[in-house]
Formats: sequence, C-alpha cells, structure tokens
Amino acid sequence: MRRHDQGRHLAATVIELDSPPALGVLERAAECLGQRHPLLHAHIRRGADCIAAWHPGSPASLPVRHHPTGDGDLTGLVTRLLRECRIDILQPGPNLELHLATKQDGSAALILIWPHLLFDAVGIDLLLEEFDSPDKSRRQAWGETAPLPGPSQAWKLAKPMVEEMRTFPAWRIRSGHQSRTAGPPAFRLLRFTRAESTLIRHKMNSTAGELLLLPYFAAVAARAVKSVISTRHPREETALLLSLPVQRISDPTKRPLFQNHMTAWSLLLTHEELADLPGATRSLFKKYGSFLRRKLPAAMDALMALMHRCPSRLYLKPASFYLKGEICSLFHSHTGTFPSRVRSVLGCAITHAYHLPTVSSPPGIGIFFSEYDGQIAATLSWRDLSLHSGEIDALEAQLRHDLGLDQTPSPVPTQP
Amino acid sequence: METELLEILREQILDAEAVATAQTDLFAAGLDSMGIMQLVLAIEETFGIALEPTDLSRDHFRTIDSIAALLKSKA
Repeated sequence: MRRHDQGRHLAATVIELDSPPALGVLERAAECLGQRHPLLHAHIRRGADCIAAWHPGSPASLPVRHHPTGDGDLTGLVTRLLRECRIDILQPGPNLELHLATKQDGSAALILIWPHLLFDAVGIDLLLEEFDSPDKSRRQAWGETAPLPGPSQAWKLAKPMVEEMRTFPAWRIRSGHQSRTAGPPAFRLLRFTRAESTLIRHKMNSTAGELLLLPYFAAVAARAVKSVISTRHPREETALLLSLPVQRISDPTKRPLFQNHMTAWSLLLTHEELADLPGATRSLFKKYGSFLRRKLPAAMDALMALMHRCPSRLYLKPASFYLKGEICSLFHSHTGTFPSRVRSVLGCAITHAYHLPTVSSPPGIGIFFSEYDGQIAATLSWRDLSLHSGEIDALEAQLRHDLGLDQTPSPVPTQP
Repeated sequence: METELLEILREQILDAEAVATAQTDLFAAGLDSMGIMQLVLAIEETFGIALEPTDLSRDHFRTIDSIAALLKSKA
C-alpha cells in the first residue's frame, strides 16, 4: 500500500471562469493564503511516540503559474500538472499550487492542486469562500483535532471492525488494479449538459428517490467498474468492496478547512446485488444501515487511530492478508453542488467547477461526481496500466447507460 | 411523533440550534444525503416504519411536519 503511494495522492480542482483575473491579483491572493495558513507549508513527520503529526514551515506565498492554452484542453493540462507536481506531504514545501489557464476565447480556469491528506472537497469549498480575502493574519486552525484514545481502549473499540475485516477474504473482492506497476495518473472528464443533467436526475428520482445521491451514484460507479472486471474474469462472480467516504462531522457548518477526516465505511456489493441499478442502490442503502446499527463507524475510527500510533509495518501485513492486495474496488464520491456558495473568484464569474482526484493502485480506478449550476460532471480517474483504452470506453459507456443517457453499453473489449 | 422526530434530529443528526421548530426547512439547516440515511434508520428503530428509497423525496423530508405526514400515511 505504501509502495503505491496510498495516502499521498494528489487532487486537482478546476474552477472555470468567464474571464481571467489579473495575474498580480492572483499572486496577492496566493501571498495572503500562504501567510494566513501555516498548514499550507507544513509537512508530516512521525515523532518519538510513533504518531504522525504535522510540523509547520515558514509562512510564504503559494506558487502561482500562468498557462496560455490555445485549444483549452484543461484535462490534458491538469494531467500534465499533476504528473509534474512536487507537492509531498512528507517534505517541507508548499501544499497547494495555483495555476491560471487562459484560453483564446477569453475565458480562463483556476486550477488548484492539493494533497488529499490535507484537504478534501469540503475543505476546498471552504477555501474558495475565503480565497479573495486580503487578510494575512496567521491562523492556528489545524483541522479536526479529536484526542486519540489510549491503545487498549482503541483496540477494544476497534475490534468489531477487525472482526468485519476477517470476513473480507471470503468475499474474493476485485479492483481494476493489475499486478504490473501502476503508471502515472490519467483522467477522462465527462461534462454533461444541462439537458443531460436533467435526464440523469430524472432517472435517479424515478428509480431511487431524489435524495439518495451518494448510494445511487456509488452504485452507478460500482456497476461500471464491475463491467470491466467481469470481462477480465468471466468465470468469477465478482464482488466489489466500496469504501464509502463519510464525513466524521455530520453538521456541514462545523467542518474545518483542513483535515476533514472521513471515515471509510467498507461495504460489500455481491455479484447478484450488482445485477441491476435499483437493486444495487437498495442494497447499499441497507448495508449502510447495518454498518451503523453494528456501530462499525466508531470501530473504524478507533482502528484508524490505532494505525496512527503504530509503525506502518505492524498494520500493513494484516491489512495485506485480509484485503489480499486490494484496498477496495474503487474510489468514488459525489460532492453534491460544488462550490456550494461561491459564484465568483477574484471578481470573475464561475461558469463550471469540478475535481480531478488522482487514485492510487490498488484500486486503480476512481469515479467522482459533482454538480455546478445544473451541470453534472463525472471524472474517470485511473493509473496508466490499470486500464486499457477499450476498458475506459466501456467504463464510460456503462456509466452513461446507467445514468440514463444511452440505451445499451458496448461490450468491453478484452484486448488492449 | 413530531416531538420524537425533533429530538432525533437535534440529538443525532443536526445542530440543535439549527432545528428550531417542526416547520424548519431541514435542507437549509444542513440535512444532507448521509443525514437522511441516519434519519431513516432512526425512524425504523423508533417507530418501526421501514422506508424505501423511493419514499425519500425532497417534499417528504423538507420539514418535521412533512416527515410525520409521510410516516402517518405508511403506518
């Protein structure tokens, strides 16, 4: 897991603007942000007690770069920026890069590159709310800082989750990860028009109700990944393990800018449950309930707390045994309306916004949804060598079919 | 029923101050997809009424009064 950069992966957020802000104005915003938040130049180090902790660096401006893009291929630009990015949470240096892409048609995009261990989509949403602020006064907010329970108490709390993990090998879970070394991150962005987005919402409302955003889109993503895995292993009844990302702080108004720690709820979808979309959504919904009833969220939190205070070799071996080299079958999220409140940045109106998170391998595949001003966007994220181009096309076709945009997905080609 | 729903929302799901009355708009108060799933479970445990995903509409979950009306129609 460590070898494959688990926990160190980066993400990009793209804010499309109707016009570019002046570069000097953006540089001033970068200066203020860097001075205001010590965590933006901090790095992680394990102390003598083995607990990993953030260590502050000197406040400084954040790096800003300008990219004139003739054809406006933002996904290509972001892919290149992520591959070249030097952010490393284990080394001193800036943890946020700002890039301004300007297009020939006069529009622009602000691209933020950030490490997932420091931010999530909630944190970036909050960051955008204060992006224009000229305030340079240093703040000491370091995110959620709940005290860790003692080791014996943590083990007692964590045990139900350990018991749950012991059932994992029997599930024979699969992901898109292949045994070859994973390549650099790669993406395909699906931008749905307002008309297509209305169709997607209409199908969701009629099949799963209008409020089950997360399980519905998680089921859509899982079925798309299953279509690829089933083609690779046609004689197996594929089961998928979903790590459902759940914010630990349920009240959205109380979530911090940094380190919105999420609990990953490990939920299984069997071959039969994945057979159709309404069934997969209903199963996920019921399994979420079962996870809650068995008090596994608290057990998962305690297990994570134990891992924080242990040298990684102590938990990597059991994790590897129980998960058989997989961490889960895919990464996914639906961040809802993003940005939730901001409509302009540095005086320029936002026309669209979405995230392009990289994934580690395993699992090798991620599918991420968000929505801005009635336009849904889906990012397919993978590692080169995890999927071949025919499989990416098939993944998209299955997604479009389940979302209600196309009638029949094409069969997945078996040869690269 | 409305009083019990108010208690569930205030104690388990949302900020107590955000849910002032049975007419408070719960979405404006921060009720999200995960909060709804927690609420559905609490309803099942408290009232013994199992809701299906298709019961989960914005109109049904906008206020405590509208949730109570849904539950009474299914009881």
